[in-house]
Amino acid sequence: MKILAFIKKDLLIMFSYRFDVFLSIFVSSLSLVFFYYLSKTFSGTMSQYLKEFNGNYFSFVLVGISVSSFVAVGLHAFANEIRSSQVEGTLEALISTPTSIYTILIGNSMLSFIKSFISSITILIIGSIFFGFFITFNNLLIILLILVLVFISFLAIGMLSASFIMVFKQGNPINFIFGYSSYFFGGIIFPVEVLPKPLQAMSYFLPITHATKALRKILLSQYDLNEIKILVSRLLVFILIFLPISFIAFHLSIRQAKKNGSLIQY
Amino acid sequence: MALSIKINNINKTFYKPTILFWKKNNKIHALKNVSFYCPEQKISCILGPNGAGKTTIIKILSGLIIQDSGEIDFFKHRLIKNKKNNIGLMTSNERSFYWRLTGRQNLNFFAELYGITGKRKKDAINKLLKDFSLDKEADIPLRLYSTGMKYKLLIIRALIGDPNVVILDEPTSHIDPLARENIHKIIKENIIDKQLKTVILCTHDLEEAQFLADHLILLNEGRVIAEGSYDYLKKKINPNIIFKIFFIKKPKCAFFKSLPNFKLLEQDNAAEINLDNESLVPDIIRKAVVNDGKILWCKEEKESLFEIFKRLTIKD
Repeated sequence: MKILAFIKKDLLIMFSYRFDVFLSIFVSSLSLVFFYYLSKTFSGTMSQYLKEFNGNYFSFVLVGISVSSFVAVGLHAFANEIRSSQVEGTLEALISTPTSIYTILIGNSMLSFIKSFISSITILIIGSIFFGFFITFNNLLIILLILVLVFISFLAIGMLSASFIMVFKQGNPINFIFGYSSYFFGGIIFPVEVLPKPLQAMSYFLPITHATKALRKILLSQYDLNEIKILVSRLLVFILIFLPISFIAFHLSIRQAKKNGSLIQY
Repeated sequence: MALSIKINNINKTFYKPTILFWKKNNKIHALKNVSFYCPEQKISCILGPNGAGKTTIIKILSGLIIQDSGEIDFFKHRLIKNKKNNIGLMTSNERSFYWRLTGRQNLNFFAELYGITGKRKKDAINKLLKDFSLDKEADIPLRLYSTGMKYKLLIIRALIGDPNVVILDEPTSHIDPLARENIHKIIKENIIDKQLKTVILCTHDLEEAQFLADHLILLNEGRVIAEGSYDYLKKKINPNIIFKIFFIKKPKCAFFKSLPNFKLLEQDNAAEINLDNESLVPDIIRKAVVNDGKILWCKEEKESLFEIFKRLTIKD
């Protein structure tokens, strides 16, 4: 219920900035147009890395973009919300209510996560209508499962990121570790296989790699369920390791901030 | 007297960070064995100079800081972690609202965080808005509110969860005298008399404290230096009462000779009498009249809270 109150509050604030709502939809569409024309530029050439996807770069990148919004939200939403609540002064008011700090953290960022979820689904629907993404009722459930797992993975990363903000206020190594590396090694814009072998190994540690791989296999080519199971289980392993770590880290960071009186300082 | 909160031996030390991390941090003892109580359904005021530890206590009470040691007994329950449903905190930070939302939308959101929903929420908000005369402005965005209106809304938010204890952290800083008087009226008539809450007031304003507080807690350098009602603290500083009589016509010398300890104030045509017992006052007035004196008016000359505060702080 309390999470719903946060979502409602954020929706009201979002729609009070009407121009920004319009602009953000426009800017999101613009990135799709950008990749569409980029793909058209090289449409005559067949890259060996894209053979599996019939050489269609736009379809390839569309799947990457659909998942990438989670990267940005996961890395920035929690940390940004904590910091802006500290700066604006709302954090003190929120914490003094009988609401757990986890509810405050997740509730404050939930709309951003929902928006990224909707954006992912919208991109996949666009892909299915205009670019022949292979979406059936059966694989829709697997697609949703993968998106939920990416969502939880980045929730964990986001919480870890917020823990650093809580203690150090500025300077966040989590963004460095998972942020740029996700874009570079995660196979969002180009296939991981393009990279030299040692760098490819890095991609195994990122949840985004397994998610994009699994989604592309489901949506763009004939897939083997066992292969998908392996990719999904890697996502699960990531969650099983990182979710408890991030909860513990956040709990400790709150305790530390309450001890040294810096909970609402910035 | 029923107790609402009892604070026992609270200690809190902060560590000043040093740039060289291998160097030992400097300790700041914010609170040293702080103990005091707050009577139920009364206004207790925490007073002290800057750095005395007032904010630290408020933050410990509202769960924003964890104390190093000591306990808080709260309505016979031990407040170790959260009893936040029983505490409503009013911060003086008017930025702690969402300015894009209306006053009512802000209250709706915070009410839900207190677990109040549906009709109960609607009724509670409408009632509080009406009590605080904010019902007409409830549906305009907060950014258009005056500072006085925002302060009223801050108090409403502290009351929305129907807590037993309301902590008011500088409730009238930055507002004009009329709005200030209005807030004082709200605290006395609404929060105390009508809603029967226990109020903990934190203020720098000694006039405000003297006017509002039933119980005063004086802090200095992280320690409680005195605690009690204004009269109790006044007696602690000076057990005698100073009684001042203004004359139209001064009484005969015999009257003054009968006084135990007095000072003539020629320019005011008055006398200041130092008494150790207030029951002597009617007899003194009678003697003045008997000795042909004509009295314009008389009063007990009260020592201001500022004087008491200054003397206790210096003594400490």
